[in-house]
Amino acid sequence: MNDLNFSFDFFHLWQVIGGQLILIVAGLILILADIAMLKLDEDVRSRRLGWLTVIIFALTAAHMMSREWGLHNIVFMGIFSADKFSIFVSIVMVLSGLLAALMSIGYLQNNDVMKGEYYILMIYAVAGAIGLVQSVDLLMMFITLEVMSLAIYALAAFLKNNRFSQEGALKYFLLGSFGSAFFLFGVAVIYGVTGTINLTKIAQSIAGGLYTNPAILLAFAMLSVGLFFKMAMVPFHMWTPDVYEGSPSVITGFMATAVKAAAFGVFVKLLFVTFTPMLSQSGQPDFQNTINLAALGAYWKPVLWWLALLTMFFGNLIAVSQQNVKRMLAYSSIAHAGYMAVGIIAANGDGRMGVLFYLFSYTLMNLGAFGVIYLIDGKERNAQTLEDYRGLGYKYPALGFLMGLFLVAMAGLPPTAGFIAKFYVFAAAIKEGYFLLAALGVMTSVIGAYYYLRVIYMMYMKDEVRDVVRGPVAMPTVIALVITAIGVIYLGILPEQLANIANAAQQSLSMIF
Amino acid sequence: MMSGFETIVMYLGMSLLVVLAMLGASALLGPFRPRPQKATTFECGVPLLEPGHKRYSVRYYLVAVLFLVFDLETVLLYPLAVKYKALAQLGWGVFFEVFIFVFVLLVGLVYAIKKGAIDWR
Repeated sequence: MNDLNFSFDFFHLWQVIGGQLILIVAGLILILADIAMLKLDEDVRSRRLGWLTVIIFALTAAHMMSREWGLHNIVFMGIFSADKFSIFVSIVMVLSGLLAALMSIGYLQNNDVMKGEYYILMIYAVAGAIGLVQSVDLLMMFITLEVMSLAIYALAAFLKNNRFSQEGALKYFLLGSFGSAFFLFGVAVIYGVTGTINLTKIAQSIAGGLYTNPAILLAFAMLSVGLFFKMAMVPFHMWTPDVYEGSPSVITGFMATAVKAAAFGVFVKLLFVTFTPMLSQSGQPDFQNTINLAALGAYWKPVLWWLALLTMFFGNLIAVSQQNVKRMLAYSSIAHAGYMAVGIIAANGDGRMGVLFYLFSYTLMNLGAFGVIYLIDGKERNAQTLEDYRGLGYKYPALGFLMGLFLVAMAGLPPTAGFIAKFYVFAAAIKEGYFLLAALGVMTSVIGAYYYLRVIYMMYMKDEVRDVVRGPVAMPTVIALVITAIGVIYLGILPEQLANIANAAQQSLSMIF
Repeated sequence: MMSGFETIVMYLGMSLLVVLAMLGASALLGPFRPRPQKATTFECGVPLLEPGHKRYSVRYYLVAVLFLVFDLETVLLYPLAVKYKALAQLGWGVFFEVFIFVFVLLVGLVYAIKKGAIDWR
């Protein structure tokens, strides 16, 4: 009984994982609220639950920003940590959930699927994602990864009568479970070799001489494969186009941002804490030997170099030939994963800061783009092809402007957040001497500009061939779109503030113990 | 190296030999005349009554899923009850944790009932 170490303290628990607690309790309350409102009209019930969800996400974000931002005692019982890095990524995911919930209120009405479960699943997905990024324990990482994934599988299948939604969800479920199995097997091998599942203890154990052990490399490869599935890096990207095309548009935006943020956050944490000499920067005598872990860089850097290159090329090249806008954005999301991986390869402070900045700005522009797509769509799969977008820029000037803005941001043109994010990531790579990778990356981003700008070309320079009528525009969606548009432009002009916060966040990675 | 498993290995080997011998003998000695009728489903000699691909009620799965609630409760509460005396030394935290756990499952059960999961009509 002694090794359990029950130093339970509710105040400490509330400070470290208060965000998760709010979401879990709120999810339970929403389940009961959904039942209590069974008598009401479906439409009213769905709208009320939607607004409640928005309030809950706002409360969670407020709690995280106010209480957890400046803590000293950041690890709770060796399971969860509330370092600035986790909090930053968590806030990106909560923001994504908030914007997606705002848009969902209108989306569900347009598609006549008004079920309370939608919002409850969304809340649990974000709770799982926050737990995933906060955990410093491999087993807890696996559990929270599954909590997040199960909720997302169900959300992907939410359009009950849509064949594509069902197909995508089943593919996602099968391939996602396959990826999780890889992750779990990696955890088992790590535990077998080092005898611990705590990230910092694993780092110490490997640095103590195990870094020459091939089993460690095997385990690291398996853990990475499990997370690459969620990040949609290239050899493991097969599910992405079908799932992103079939899922409800708002959920696609949510998946492409929150799940990607969670997977990148946890991958950066796992990689830098456990397999690089990051912890030796903390100055603690216990972690001095982790400087040995630099030897592992010779193994993971070349692999990630090729993966990043392939991801950028495949994502951008295949997106060029897509006719469906949602499918095109799915391939573009693969390409963006490649750009973020460039920041990870740089393995310096600037690179990590760039990845965090990229995640934040990508959340804004991607969710915005999917919001516009659902508005033009009306009912799902009504108007999603490039042909349908012809001439829409003059018919609906506001929507056309917003779509243009988000696509320009994704293409990485100034003065938008997308340009700054790409700049940080590539600058970090050049600083570390990866000239070729950075040059090829910029080249693929030019390919990307072609298909992003093609949509704008269709909207403004072609006459419409089919009478496309947009769906009704709900007020919450307008709020969400205005927030994302202002954010995209603001971060493009004044990025220093967020960059400083992201820099502080990435520095805190060395203090997890 | 006598570890007591030799008898089991011998038993497995013998049964494998017997099975192979019986199957081999019947393949060697028996006649082989396939006919389409022989490939159809065998139902006690009478003609087939109905196709095997049938629809059956989703209630079956609902009951199975609802059972999961009680299943989890038992699986996790029994070990805790066995160890409870030792855990009680650590304070009231564990006592309340049990109730939180049961409450979470209870919400799921109430939800399922209210949504008509055991509404047999």
